[in-house]
Amino acid sequence: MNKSWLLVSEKLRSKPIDLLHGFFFNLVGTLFLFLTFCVVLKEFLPRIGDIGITEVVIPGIIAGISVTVAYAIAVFDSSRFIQERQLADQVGIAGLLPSEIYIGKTVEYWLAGMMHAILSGIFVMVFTGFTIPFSSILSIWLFTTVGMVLVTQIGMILGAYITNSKIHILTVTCLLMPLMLLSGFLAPMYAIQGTFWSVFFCFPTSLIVEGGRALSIYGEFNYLGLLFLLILSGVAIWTCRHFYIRKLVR
Amino acid sequence: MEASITLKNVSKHFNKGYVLSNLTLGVEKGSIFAVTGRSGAGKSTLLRILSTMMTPDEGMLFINEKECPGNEAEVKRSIGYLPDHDIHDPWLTGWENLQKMARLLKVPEDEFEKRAKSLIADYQLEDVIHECPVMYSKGEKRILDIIQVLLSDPEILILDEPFQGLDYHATNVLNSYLISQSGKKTIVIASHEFSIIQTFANRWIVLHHGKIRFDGTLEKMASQVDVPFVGNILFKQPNAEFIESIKDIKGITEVRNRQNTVEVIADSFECFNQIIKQLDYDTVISLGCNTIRIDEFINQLLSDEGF
Repeated sequence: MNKSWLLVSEKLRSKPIDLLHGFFFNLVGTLFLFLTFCVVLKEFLPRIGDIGITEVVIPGIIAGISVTVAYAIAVFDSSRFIQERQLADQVGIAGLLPSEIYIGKTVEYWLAGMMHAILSGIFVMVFTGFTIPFSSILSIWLFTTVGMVLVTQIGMILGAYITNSKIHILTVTCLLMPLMLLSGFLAPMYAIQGTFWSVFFCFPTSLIVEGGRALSIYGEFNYLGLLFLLILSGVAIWTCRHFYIRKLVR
Repeated sequence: MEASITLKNVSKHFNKGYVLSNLTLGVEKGSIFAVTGRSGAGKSTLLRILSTMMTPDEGMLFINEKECPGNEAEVKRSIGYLPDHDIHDPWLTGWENLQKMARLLKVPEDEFEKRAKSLIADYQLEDVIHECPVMYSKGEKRILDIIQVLLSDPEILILDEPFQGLDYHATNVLNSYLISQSGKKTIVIASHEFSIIQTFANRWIVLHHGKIRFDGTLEKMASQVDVPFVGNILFKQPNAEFIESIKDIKGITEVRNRQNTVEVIADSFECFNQIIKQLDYDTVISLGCNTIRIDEFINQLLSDEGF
């Protein structure tokens, strides 16, 4: 574990310009999503039930940005790390065991996603003039924290095994983005009736957004949803650890 | 002598088939062990397994009497492995790469500074060390990787084509270093630069299709098969008269006329001695000879076995 942290700390030594880029793009992304859904859409749909559009959309914005970032970093960095070999070999030669590399990389991608979830949450509070309570943002972060474990594991497996980076782009644009939009990003999934839609309600992205929203708006803790998310994350960790390490020692 | 590395019935296969097949060997502590063979023979796979970076499908590996897999955490610190490809982050500077390696290896800061600066000076990498390796030449990238591996002064060195891309200066520095480490470190080296590694290797193996075809010393190599004696004479200009003058000497099997260089393949040193007597030294720039040509030996060894 100590050596895994060495690997993470190497990433934390990022150059200030890289950190500034991350900060800038998160600010732009959060602002644009906020403008699109909380300002423009508010004009178009003035009320959703008794709740304002801002409260409905904010969990989606925070989860959307952080989950997409965590997944994209995991899939692209894993691909480069494993396929090009030179980076994986550098740390392997430095004495890190494959299991330590796996843990280090998981923490690295998860931290990257969390950093963006935190930044996004802070920016959203600023944009709303601190009318959103901090406890609401904390609720969203809780579900995002668990959900991102699952997302990074999926990203790491796909990055390690799919060599074509075009496929990685497709998974982001054609799978993750639609899934995020269908996760209750705009309209709460529980409000839509029918068996077909209830399947989407069980999707991890929906559990993250809806779980965070239910806790932040209604104060309802979705224990089952969180448990399901934890089980999925556990299965993903077990699977990813096995296949990722297998790829490292080939 | 105590074995530093032991392989027992090790096999490794990829999709296309076996790359290493039932390999058993021991590398003595403090010896320099050369691994040779044609491309695709399994040399890099063998070295990767010895470095514990790859797990064999079958068989056992012992490093300093500790079995792997199982004790990698203990043995990895004692191994310095240089693969045949780059091992640096192209978007960190050379110095940052060395710092990263030192931190991961837990080399103390003051020791790192001293050792890194000394290695950089030895290999004359000062001019580019603060640039990113994407700007480096192939040789400079190789030097950076060699320095990374030597940073922690490991007890066992596993080097896969270390001379690849190196200029004459870096080649000499590395060669001198390896000679100086004979008897101190256990070194396993795979290279096609036979003229260099024959100066320090104690033991050789020839791999082919994942199996050991030869295992022994240069002396054994010379005695096992009838390896021709090769002499090279570099003339100031093409010398057809000389070639004409030696054609009747007995024992010459082949004369290769390559512009200013004449390569003579003979069956004995006595024969080459007669050839030298025919020379007009005013027309000659240099004269060289090999009593054993390892490439010829490998060719003959494999052709004798029907490969």
